[in-house]
Parts: sequence; structure tokens; C-alpha cells
Amino acid sequence: MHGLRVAFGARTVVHDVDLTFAAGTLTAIVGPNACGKSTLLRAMARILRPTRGAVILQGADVASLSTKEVARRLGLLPQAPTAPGGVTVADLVRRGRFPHQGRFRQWSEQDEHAVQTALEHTGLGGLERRLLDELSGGQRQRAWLAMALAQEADILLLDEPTTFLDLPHQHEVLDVLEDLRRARGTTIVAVLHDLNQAGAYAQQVVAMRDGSVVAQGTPHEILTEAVIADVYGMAVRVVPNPVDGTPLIVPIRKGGPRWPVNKTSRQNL
Amino acid sequence: MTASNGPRPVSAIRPRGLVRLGPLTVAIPPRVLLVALALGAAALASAVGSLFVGEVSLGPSEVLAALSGEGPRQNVFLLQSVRLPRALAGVVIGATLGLSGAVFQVLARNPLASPDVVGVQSGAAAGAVLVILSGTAAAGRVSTAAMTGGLIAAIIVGGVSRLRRAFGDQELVVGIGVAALFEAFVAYTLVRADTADLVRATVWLSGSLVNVEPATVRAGTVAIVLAAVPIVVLARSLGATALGVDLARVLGVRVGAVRATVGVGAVVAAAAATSVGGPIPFVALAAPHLGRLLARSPGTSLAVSAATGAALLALADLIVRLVAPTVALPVGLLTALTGAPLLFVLVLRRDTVR
Repeated sequence: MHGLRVAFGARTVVHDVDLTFAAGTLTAIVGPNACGKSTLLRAMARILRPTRGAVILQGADVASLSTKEVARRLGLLPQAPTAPGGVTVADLVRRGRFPHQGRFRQWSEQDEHAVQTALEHTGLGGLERRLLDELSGGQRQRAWLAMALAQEADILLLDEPTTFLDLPHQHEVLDVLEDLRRARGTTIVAVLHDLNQAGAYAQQVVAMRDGSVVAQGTPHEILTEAVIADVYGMAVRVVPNPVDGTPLIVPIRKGGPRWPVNKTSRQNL
Repeated sequence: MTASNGPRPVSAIRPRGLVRLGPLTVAIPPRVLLVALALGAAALASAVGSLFVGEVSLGPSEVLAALSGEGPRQNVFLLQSVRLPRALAGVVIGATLGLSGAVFQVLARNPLASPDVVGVQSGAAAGAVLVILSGTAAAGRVSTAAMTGGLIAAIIVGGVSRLRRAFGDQELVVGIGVAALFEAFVAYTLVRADTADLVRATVWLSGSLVNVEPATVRAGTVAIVLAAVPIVVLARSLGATALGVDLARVLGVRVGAVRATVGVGAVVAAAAATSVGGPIPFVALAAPHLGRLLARSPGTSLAVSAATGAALLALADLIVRLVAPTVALPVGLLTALTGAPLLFVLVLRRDTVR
């Protein structure tokens, strides 16, 4: 992605962003609400036309590729997708095969295999005939993820895939992404609000503020007290996660801690 | 994880109703096919039945003879110039309104969208009334004026919406406003009309299929078929937009081009249908709902909706002719009287309706 700029009318939402996403890695885009994360994602998915710059997909400018070619290489899970009523899990996941089908080639062995694999990856085997509306929030999100996986794109963009889910379901979704990255080498770019999840699952973190990339690098480079103070205007402590050593972000409440803390940690505040 | 892992039976994954013909594979859900065929048959049966009944009831041999140009001259005229065009018009207009209504609801992603809501029929009414009141009320000219009025209304709606990049529901709101403007115009012109013109205008406005003429049916059908071609060709892509604009785009649909082409097709088809039969209410709005409820398929099947519209209108016209053969009862009255209760029954019997 080179010098990407996206504007709506006179209002520039994303300023001159330069980013590279290595194949087979997960990049987390973080930043406060309305900082241009979703806009950046939609420009990358070729939904929005950048006013300047280009999105380069495997060596080719996406603007020069046909909509269908992009669709075979790049998948997207929007923030709050909606399906028509009465759709079953299998119906939904099959729709991910659309770019691989034609008017007179509406189903093939590859379609069957891709749908099968997507359902297995997301742990939805056995729920194929259930209505989407009947599923729990976590299952529904995995069904949407399965639809995106059935597309068999090398690159997967996800806009807040864990928002609105409870803690176990958030990690189910992130574990699916981790498996996918390792097993298929899928390049994943996800907008995440939970910085701890970004630290635990991402290889690259991109921090945005007011439509610009403030910092990019490994989780240990980006998820620091200084960068977070700069991006969110908020004081935090970053400590090593006791489970796996990834950065753990602990917000410092205004007015100081409610309970006594030992002197050394107070000095560090 | 809540579900078992391991390979699943393919029957759970495959779309239903796969038909393989050499290299071609098409998926036609059996229930959708069955409902479309049954409703299509009902529409044709009603149309054939309506050839026999009316002010004069005719037997099968008389109808067959008259259709092939034999027998009493008044019978030949009655069949070839009145009843056959009217029966065909019922099927064609019904199917067109059903198709157009389904396209509108898919495009707007709103179950209340239909060509009559956004003013296509009001625009057509304004055009027709204007010509009728100017005195030269040849059927062809009224029909052309109606078609033009319908298209002008749609162009105003589209133009105003594009000015501010309004889509979906906002476009519907603009359409409701445009419809109200044209209706006010019609009401104002009727107040100022003299009695003879007023009667003719009222008959046209009642959408009773009475003013159907062979020439207008022919011209209208040609326009409708031309308008329906892009809709049929792009039906699969249109179906993919049911997941939302962003996902459709990422799945490889050129959303803007598809929506514009299909939308223009639906508007032209609805305007042409109205130009032949007058403004027939309710069919375009209700047929997609009835079709969805009968076919129990996710999303909207254009074929089922068209077949539902045809059956609804043809059946209503048959009933009108049976019940009140001497009165020009507006067929729209019957489509509402039969369609609305059916809609209630189907909605009440099903718990998941959207």
C-alpha cells in the first residue's frame, strides 16, 4: 500500500498511509473510534476508491484488477453484516463461493470442499441446517467467518471481528484466525479494539490516530506506554502477560488506584 | 466448540435441487421450482377461464371457434379484441408488477419498497389523465403518456436522491414525496375536468383492465420483455447484494452497475405495465411477500414473485368477471381483497418472517 489517501468530498479521512503486510502474518489495526480504521480497510478491499496512492495486491494495483479477480484473492468480514431472514448456516457459507461460480457453474467439487473445510475450521460441523438467527452470537460470528473462509482468499480483512462477543467467543474467533494463518498461510488484517488481543495474536500492530498511522511495528514495539498515551491520550501501564509474555495493557484509572499498591509500582506511574 | 468435528455428509452442504447437464450445473431449490410452476399454472388457468365468462357466457366450442376466427362476428370480436387481450394483459401485468416489486425490495433492502410507493404509478396516472383531459384520448396516446409520466417520476426520484447521494430508505422517502406531488396534480386536474372526461379518467385511474386494447398490450409486452432481460441476466448478482453492498463487492459483484441496470429495468417494466392496465395497487408490494412465504426460501426469488403477481392479478380479474360481469369493478379492489387476507394468514402461520 503506497501513499494511500481516502477522502469523502473535501474531508480527508485517511492521510498518506504506507503499509506493507507480509504474507502469512496477522496485522492488528488499533486506534480510537473514528480514526479511519474501517475506512482504511474498505479502501484496501477496493470498496472505496482512494483519492491518491494505490493498494498493491501481490504486485498488481487493485484498481487495475477486475472486481471478480480481487474477490478470489481478498475476503472481508464487515463490522455488522446482515443476512436475509431464513438463511441457514450452509446457505450463508455457500455464498462465500460466489466469486468462484458462474451462471451455469453454480456448484462444483471445489465448492463442496471449500465449504466443508470452512465449516470444520470454524467448528460449525453439525450446525449446517440451523438458521443463522437461531445461533448464539459467537456461533453466528463464526458462521460469517466461515463464509469469508469459503471464499478461499489469500488475504482476509476483518473489521472488529470480536466486538459484541463474550470473552470465550472472542478467543474462539481469534484462535480460528491463528489456525488459518498457520495452516494456510493466510494474510490477515484485523481492526481490533482490545489491545491485549492485538498483543497476543498479531505479528504486526498498526496504531492510527486522526486518519494517520502513528506507529507500526511488532507488538512489543508498538504496545508501549508512550505510544498508547500518544494514540489514545490515556495513561496505561504495560506489563508482560504472565501467561505468554506478550504486552499486557492495564489502564490507570483517573484519581489513582482504588486500593493501596506497593511503593515501587506507584513510583513507576 | 459446541459441534462435532470431522467430515460432514455432503447433503448438508450442497445446495438443494442441483441439476447437472454436461459441464453445466445449476441449483434450483425444489420448493421454489414447485411454487413457481404451480402459481404460473394457476395464472394461466385463470386467464383461460376468464375467456369463457363475462357479460355473455360462452361454451368451450364457441370460444375455440371464435379464437380461430369462425362463428358469429360479435363472438370473434369479443374474444380476439376484448377477452384475449385482457386475459393476456392480466398475466403479463401481474407478472411484471411481481417482478418489479421484488427487485425494488431487494434493491432498497426494505420490505415496503415497490414501484407504486416511489411514484411510478402516480407519475403514469398524471401522464394519462393529462392526455385524457386534453380530449384526444386514443388508447395508444394515453398509454404512451402514462409510460412517459411513470418514467419522469422515477427520473425525478433518482435525480433528487443522487444529488445528496441518498440510497435505500432515503430514496424511498424521496419517492413517497414525488408520488404525493403527482397525486396532488391528478386530484387538481380532475377537479377542473368536465364530466365526460372525468368519467374516462376515473375509469383509467381505477386500473380495471377494462381499458386494455390489443395494440397497447402488444407494445407494452415488448417494452416489458426488453426491460426484463437485464433483470434476468443479473439476477444472481442481485441476489448476492442481499448480504449488503460491501460484502457483495468483495464477493465480486460490480454493485453500482448491477443496481443501476436492474433498477432501470424494474422502473421501465412497472411503467410499461401501468401504461397498459392503469395503476393497479397492491400487487407489486404484496407479491414478493406472498412468494417468499410460499417458497420459504431465504431471500427473494424473482421467478416466484413474478408467478405470484401473475396468479394474483389473473385470479382477481376472473373473480371480478364472475361476480360482477356487468360492472367495471376495479381489479385492484379484488387483488387487495384476496391478497391481504392471504398475506395475514401466511404471516401468522410463520414465526420467522422478515
